[in-house]
Amino acid sequence: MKSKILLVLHSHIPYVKRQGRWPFGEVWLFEAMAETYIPLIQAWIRLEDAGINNALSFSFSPTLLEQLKSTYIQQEFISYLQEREALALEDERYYMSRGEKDIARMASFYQRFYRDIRRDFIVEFGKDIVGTIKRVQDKGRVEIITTAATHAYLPLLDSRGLEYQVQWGKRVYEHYFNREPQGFWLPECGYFHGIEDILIDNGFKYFYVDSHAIEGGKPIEVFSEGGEETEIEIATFARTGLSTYRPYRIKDKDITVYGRNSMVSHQVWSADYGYPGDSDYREFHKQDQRSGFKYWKVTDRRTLNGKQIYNPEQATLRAKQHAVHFVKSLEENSREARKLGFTTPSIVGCYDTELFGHWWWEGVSWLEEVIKEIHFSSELELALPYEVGPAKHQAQVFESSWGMGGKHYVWDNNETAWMWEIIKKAGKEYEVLKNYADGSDIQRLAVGQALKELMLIQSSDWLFMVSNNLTRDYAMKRFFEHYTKLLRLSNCLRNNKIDEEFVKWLHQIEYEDDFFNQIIPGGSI
Amino acid sequence: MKTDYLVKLINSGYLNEGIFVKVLLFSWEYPPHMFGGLGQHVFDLSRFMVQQGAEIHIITPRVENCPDYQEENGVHIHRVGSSYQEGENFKSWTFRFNSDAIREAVVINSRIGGFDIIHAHDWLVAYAGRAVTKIFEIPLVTTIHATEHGRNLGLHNRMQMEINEIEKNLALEADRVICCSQYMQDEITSLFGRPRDDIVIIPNGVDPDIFLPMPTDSRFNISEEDKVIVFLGRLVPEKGVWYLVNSFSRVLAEVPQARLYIGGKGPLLGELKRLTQKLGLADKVVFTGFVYHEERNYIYHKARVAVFPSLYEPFGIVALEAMATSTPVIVGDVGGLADIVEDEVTGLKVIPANEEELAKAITRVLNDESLADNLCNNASNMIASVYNWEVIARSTIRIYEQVLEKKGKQLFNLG
Repeated sequence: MKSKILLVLHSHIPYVKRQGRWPFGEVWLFEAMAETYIPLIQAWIRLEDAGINNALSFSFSPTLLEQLKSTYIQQEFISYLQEREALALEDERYYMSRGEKDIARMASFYQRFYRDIRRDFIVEFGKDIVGTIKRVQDKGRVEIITTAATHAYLPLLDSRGLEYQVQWGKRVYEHYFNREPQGFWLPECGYFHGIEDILIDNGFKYFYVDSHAIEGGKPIEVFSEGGEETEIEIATFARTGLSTYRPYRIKDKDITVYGRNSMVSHQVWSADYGYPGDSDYREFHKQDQRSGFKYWKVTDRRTLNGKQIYNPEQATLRAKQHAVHFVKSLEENSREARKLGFTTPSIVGCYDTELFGHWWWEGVSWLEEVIKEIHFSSELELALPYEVGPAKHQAQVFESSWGMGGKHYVWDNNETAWMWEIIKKAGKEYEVLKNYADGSDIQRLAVGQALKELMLIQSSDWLFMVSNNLTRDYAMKRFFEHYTKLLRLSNCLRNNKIDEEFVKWLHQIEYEDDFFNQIIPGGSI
Repeated sequence: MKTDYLVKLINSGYLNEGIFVKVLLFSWEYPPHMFGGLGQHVFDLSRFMVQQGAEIHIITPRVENCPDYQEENGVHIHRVGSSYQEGENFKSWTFRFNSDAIREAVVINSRIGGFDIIHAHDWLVAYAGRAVTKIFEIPLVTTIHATEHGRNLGLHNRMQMEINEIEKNLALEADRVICCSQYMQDEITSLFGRPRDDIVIIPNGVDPDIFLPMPTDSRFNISEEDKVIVFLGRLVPEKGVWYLVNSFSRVLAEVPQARLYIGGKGPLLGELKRLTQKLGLADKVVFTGFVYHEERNYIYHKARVAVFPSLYEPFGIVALEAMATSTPVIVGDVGGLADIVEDEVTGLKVIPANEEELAKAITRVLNDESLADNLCNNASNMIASVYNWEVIARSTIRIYEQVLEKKGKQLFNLG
């Protein structure tokens, strides 16, 4: 029997619709759509058409699904692509006139890229990325799974908040995919004892954790070291003697857990040993001063100086070589596992989808090559979770995440402690408001909106941005604004100040923060 | 239509003629919660605006032994959150306070039928100001009292850069920015890119009356022979107090009766004490700690000269306070201080960090009584005409009006 390779891609963008465009906001979503989602789905369709086994667990956060489904976003995305194309054309002319042919050639490359993406988005996808992946799921070997409604970091959330996050994660999925979700992606692989009960209650069959959650030992460092002023707490985990080469049933519970394989993750993510830092690949951080386009290759990843112009052909060749190398390592890994006595080892690789294409420009080509290589391997085959067979062994899993330090540090530290207090207060506030849901239509609408504001406050993204000091002000502004909206809703409901002005405002924020509107009309839970 | 509140105000005699505007003011400091000049500023600004007919609510942090709600001089004071505890993570405390301030703002806003203006003082209340402004669509005015970049003569660590970012966004998002000097206007324009036209200069004021009460029982007993030099302020490098202590030994050589009173708290206290010991000045220098109103008045009353040798000073309210007590002033020729003091007319200016020049200036004032009298008289006249809270309160309300006019809202005019 061949070893089973379980590939999991997790896709998420916070709810940025109508909350700023550039430099922070909608452009994050547009970049992921253009550079990752569309090229990746196209690659998967190509593989499917070629009869290649492309089994994949594909996770989409509900906030992302809602935005991809929005006609506003679809229209704005088309304008964004047009702008980029025009900008690339300007750059091409500019650099041609200066005799810088290599950059001009790259500008022309981008011009074609954005033109093609626009055409494909309109023609092939019918502007509907979600509808397209639904078709892919219905016809082929892609299994779409869901995650927490607004990608909350679950281990630290209060119990009611947890329920909302899981329930709405499921509801949004069912709305768009017309079936029950089987798998649940724990945001950031954040696991604690007890989360499985809520998952089981909602009909989920499996979820994923990081390798140290199963095996113990030192967590793999997924992200690079923090800033000089942060002291990362590294959690330590006792060695358990268990292995991620097989799935486990959570002890005495009816749900399966898959552990991420550390070697597989490391090879792709690590700044030191990973592929994306290769000198031939496109440099992410250096941008053209005029247009923001990325015309350079990594060259030397330790410095931003002396970057050479990117060469797409060379980089594609490199991606092929890396794919071959990666599948060889997988095969070695698989043979190691067999030596240890696993007759049919499972190897689970979990990645953020946006790594491929957006962060690592060549990532989609690499992944496509990997899938092909695995298809022709005598040692390996891609599989979906249910094809691995029922878990025969039981395990107790450690409280953990895939973030730096292995536990909650990235989302819970000195910088974010105050945010958790507010998240908890907001949760309590909503529990009181729920009592008004049986009232008038407007009251019900207000309670539904309060739930959306609560869930937006709970997004792990704000915590992540604050603790990493990335676009921190945007995150804090959003956090405080959603909190203020919740408090205004609460104050009006509690004091029965449901006047004309309130109703007008309610409709306005219903429009501003409009996710789940299809599913929560006046949404009581 | 006059609200109950308005009728009450008119009857209480607080109200002059003018405009009725409802203002929500966020401030980290309000008496007795005082660290620098911000608390005094907000205290005076708000009570004088009430006299002009404004309804003012202030949201400020809780202080031990102070009521959560209080009406003082017609100003509504709402204290929320927890008082800051020494050793607590300051940033966390600040943001938590912002969230409590928002909660309170939501409640009051609905109770009073909606504010016309939000006025946020400094970065510490930036998120409360921005969020309430955005969600309730109420215009935002902000007073930037100082900048992190200026306070630290640059940005040197993550926290300073974060604060700079918060100040920048506050300055850019506010409908109008108020600052207290030409110097600060330049700084806000160059640091944050807010066009000069959007930044209004309104100087700080002083109320000479508050310097009159004397303590019944002072901690200090200053004899008539002592020639007292006084410094009041936070003990931080930018205030230049280090140079003052060094120059004091030169002064003593000329004027043996000279005594130096250093009032205030701050991180440099220990180092300054060690410096006085090293220089053999320990019995000539008095570290008073933070001095409250009457005690401060007593020291000023006895002092022969007040010295503020700052290296950075956005405004320099301390110099005006000293002037209001008829004490001659010597200041570092920087920032707002440079704007306030006219050299040899309302005070003396010295090059910052120049100990020799500072010693000379102090000796001059201590030895030349007619010079001292002249400086005092000129300074008093200037205070009464320019740095007058009535004028400042009126100018501030005028800014509110302009902001509202731009948004197409008109205020209810009492006249």
